[in-house]
Amino acid sequence: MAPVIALRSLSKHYGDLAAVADLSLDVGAGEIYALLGLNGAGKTTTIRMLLGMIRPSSGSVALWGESVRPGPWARVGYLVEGPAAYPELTVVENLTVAARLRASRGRRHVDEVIERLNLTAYATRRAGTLSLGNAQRLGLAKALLHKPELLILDEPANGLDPAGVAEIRSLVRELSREHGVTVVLSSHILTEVARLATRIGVIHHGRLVRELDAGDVAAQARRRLSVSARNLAAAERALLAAGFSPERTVAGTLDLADDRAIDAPEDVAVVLVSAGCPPTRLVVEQDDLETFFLRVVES
Amino acid sequence: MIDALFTELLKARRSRVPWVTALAFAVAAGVGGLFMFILQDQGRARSLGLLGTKASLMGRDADWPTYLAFLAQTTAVGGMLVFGLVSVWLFGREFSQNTVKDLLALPTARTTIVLAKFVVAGLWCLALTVQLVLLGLVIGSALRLPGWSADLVASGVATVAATAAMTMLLTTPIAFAASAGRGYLPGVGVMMAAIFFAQVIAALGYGRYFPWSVPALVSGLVGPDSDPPGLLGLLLVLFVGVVGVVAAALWWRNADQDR
Repeated sequence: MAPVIALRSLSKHYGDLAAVADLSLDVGAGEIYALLGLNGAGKTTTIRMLLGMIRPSSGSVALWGESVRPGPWARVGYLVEGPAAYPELTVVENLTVAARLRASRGRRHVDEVIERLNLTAYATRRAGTLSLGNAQRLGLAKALLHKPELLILDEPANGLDPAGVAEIRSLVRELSREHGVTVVLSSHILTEVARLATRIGVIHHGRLVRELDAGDVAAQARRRLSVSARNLAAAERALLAAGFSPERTVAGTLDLADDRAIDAPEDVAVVLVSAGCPPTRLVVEQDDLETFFLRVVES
Repeated sequence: MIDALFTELLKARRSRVPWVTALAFAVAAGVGGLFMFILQDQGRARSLGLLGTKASLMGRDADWPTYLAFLAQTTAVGGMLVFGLVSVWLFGREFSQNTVKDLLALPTARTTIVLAKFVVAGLWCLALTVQLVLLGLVIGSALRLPGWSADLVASGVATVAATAAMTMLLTTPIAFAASAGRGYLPGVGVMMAAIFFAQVIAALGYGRYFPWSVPALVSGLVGPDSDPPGLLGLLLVLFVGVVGVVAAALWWRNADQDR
């Protein structure tokens, strides 16, 4: 069976600038695939090519094995580069317009999506008066309106407060798990990507530099034992004497990357207590995705 | 197509722009009526403080032929501005308000959306023309203008309608400019250039070879001594109208939408 999304040697050049270069990837049904990259890395250009808005300079894009021109758009919902709505139309009218153009005439779908995105209180408000967060909800509502099988979301959490971000995360997860919706998203909120995606593609300078499963992030992220003590110098001497390799951090802690320290923090505690400088804090920490991402890109 | 038409009509209905264009055409009919009122009795007009001297520059009588000719000329010049703004708004707003991206990957084809916009533009301009004619008839009757005859009014209304239809056709490249230029300003720029060159070229006597001068020739704006536009002029107007629609549709379908 053809993957939901198949990009093959996809490139887009603007003069000498390669916005996307030789990018190939597959996304299978029900996956939540996150495109991770710095600003200008080529994420939005890739998404626009996926949606047939930009013609590739070379390579191909296929959705369910089908070309994106004209494209199977009745099966796709999308939100690209922030929400946009007709300011003089109400929320309901904006959704009605979107529904009619998606050949979905039922008012029921509009009401359902308004409720789902918590827009009921704003249903009769003009879109031009909505806050950024509610405008983002309206953009997401348009994408979900016709119950798409593939959801393409460019920075879906933009403008949302933390509660809104959590809400969207659980919505996307539910769509994927319970309805088998395939999701492709890009985000600069790295912790969100780590929590939500089943697979991550790291894009840098238009190239796919790394592709990994969500589980790989945890496996490949570096771990360390972070130690705090009232007398940091004495603690450092004691640890060195015990054969550990502590490193001072700018935060005023000692980091131990030795496996035996990470696997048995209690041994470190014993060393420090015996040396008369008991630890005030002892915790195994892991690279966050940002650190991980920068390490991947730099390598 | 019906869905695309529904959405375009809803967007237009909720906007203030149709009211602004209707007001502009109502003012045009009213100004024509004011000129007729002044021409009817210049002494009375002066005593009321109206611009009797300027109105008399028209050098015409206050009658139905003069008033209907004024309405046709208003359609030629004012129509290019007002109908042009309709096109600029219908197409340019999608880019200025960044809503175009929501129209590009839909089961409704992009060319259907473009055609729906042109249909709405046509209906809108038709409504404005009907409003101008009806208002003109009401004002002319209220002023008891002499020279009424069914044939004369039918011929005058036909001239207004022909001028309006040609002016509508000539605004399609403005819609293309607002699309390719991704906003209002390029459309307005092309519209102003068309109005300017139409005046200059018509004044030089080559109006029938320049499509945007043709409605003015048909309406008699250039003067009774000017040559009629002829078949060539009319074909040029039709050609420009078709090219504008095709260019806009092709651009929406094929151009990279990267903003």
